[in-house]
Amino acid sequence: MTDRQMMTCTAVDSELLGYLEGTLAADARTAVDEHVASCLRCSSILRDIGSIRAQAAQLPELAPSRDLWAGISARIEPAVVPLGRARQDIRRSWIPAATAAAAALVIATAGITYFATTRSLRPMTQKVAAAPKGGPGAQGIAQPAIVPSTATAPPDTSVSSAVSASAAPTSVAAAPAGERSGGRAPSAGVRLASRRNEPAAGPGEIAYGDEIARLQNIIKQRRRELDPGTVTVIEQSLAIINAAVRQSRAALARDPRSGFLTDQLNHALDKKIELLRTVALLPSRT
Amino acid sequence: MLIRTFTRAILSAMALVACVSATARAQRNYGETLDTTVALDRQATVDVSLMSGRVEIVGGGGSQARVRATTDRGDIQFDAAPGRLRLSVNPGHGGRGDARFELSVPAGTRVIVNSLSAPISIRGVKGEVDVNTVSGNVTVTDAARKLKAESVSGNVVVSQVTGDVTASSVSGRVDATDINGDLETESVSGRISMAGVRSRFVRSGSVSGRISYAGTFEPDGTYEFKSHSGGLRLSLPADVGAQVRIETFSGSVDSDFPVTLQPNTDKRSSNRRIEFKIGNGRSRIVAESFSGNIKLERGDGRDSRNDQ
Repeated sequence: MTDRQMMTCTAVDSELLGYLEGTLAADARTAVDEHVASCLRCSSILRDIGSIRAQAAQLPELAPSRDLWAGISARIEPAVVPLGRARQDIRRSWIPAATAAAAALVIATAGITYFATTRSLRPMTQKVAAAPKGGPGAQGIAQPAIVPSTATAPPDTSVSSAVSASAAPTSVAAAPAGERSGGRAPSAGVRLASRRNEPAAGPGEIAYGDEIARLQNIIKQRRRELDPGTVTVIEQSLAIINAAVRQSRAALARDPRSGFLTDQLNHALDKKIELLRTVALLPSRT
Repeated sequence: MLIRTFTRAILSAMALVACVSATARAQRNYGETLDTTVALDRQATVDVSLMSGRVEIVGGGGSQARVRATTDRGDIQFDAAPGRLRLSVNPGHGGRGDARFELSVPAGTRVIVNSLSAPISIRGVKGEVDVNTVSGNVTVTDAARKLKAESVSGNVVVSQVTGDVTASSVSGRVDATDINGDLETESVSGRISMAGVRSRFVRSGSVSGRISYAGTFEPDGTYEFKSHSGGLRLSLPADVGAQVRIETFSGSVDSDFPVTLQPNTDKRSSNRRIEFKIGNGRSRIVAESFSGNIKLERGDGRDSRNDQ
């Protein structure tokens, strides 16, 4: 470190930002220049900073590609029904439907929270309702997928999926580290365990279970408000999606490390949630 | 005394008549008709909603909007200002009957339509369009800036759009033709057909619906097509330059372009993954299907045969 008559290295340090930004007064700038000209330390610092700035200026402007952002967005969005997405221009005639959907969402959320809270205090299981295997109504509107059972009820794994809420965090933590990040970020929701005769739900499904259940509850309450023809279309579409989920899951069971199959499963589950959200926000036929 | 009695009788009769009249008016189902012209800014918003019936909106010159509306039952709700025009049917008074809305609006107008089952036709507005319907068909031609069209079971047909397009249906068909802008199309079981597309970003996804695409592949553009069981048919111009990734679990792959497998092809995987480069490889094309067949064919960017 070298001291000059009018300026020390410490003083130069304090003026360096202004010097680099060009906001320093002329006399102060001259003093810094004089010091730097004869100080090895300060001249080195200044040269390094100048080099970094020059290289940084050469870097191309980086922006995440759009498809990348879509994935990020999907992961960071809260797993709730986007009532805000409801058309800004919703007409007065549809307000009761939207209000009912909002109320149902609140009730469903409160219910889920209640169950989650009570489950954390005492062992409890939930089971996925037995759906007609391969039938069009499988996990459709008519039958909510998740039915709370009592703590004393024996787990019926022959026809349903056992869901252990207390095991959820463990399951999330135990997910393979190398798992492809095609799925959404794991949430503290329930984890769908495997049916005895069907492949296990992969880690990618963990985040979907609670939201699907929530949405199906809302739709169950709204079913009578909807046009029967529309309900039929939705049930058929859900059957198609459920079949895709089953096929993807079965393939993934044979090749658990396949990122492609994980993506396919997530794609099908995304479609399911998207459809359920759409249905939850549909205007009432009345 | 007699006069007082007579007066009371008259007043009572009048009250009774008024009461009966009001009751009858409240109970009857009546329709309304509106035919009016109002001044509208070029960048104004036209907001239309109805349950069923028909909507036709046409863009034109000038700075006026003409509104013709009829309802079988129910009141027409109409209010207009230079920046916004609203048209709907009051659901009170038995307003569940059909309504027919015909509007001509200045070019550049932003149009919003919400409907339950009415078919919706919007032509030549050259502005932003946002359409939502449950079971009605949607047809939009000659829009600009941004177009969003969604239906649950209706068909969605959009064409001649300069701007970003999002078109989706659950079970209906989705057709997008002559699009100049980013394009996103989605369905569950409805087939998706895209032709004459000039875009740097295309994303299309379905579950069982077939997907076909014919358009340009711009340098640095991204084109993604994904289905579960629906077939994918991509028509690529002969001079295309693209890095192509095709992946399927059990579907077939057919390409008119020579395919050279890259060294990084994962042979351990149960699914088939093919990566290859065409020309300068500047575009990025991804086609994935679980069980649908994938076909890459030489085309002119216009045809979109979807006959798999």
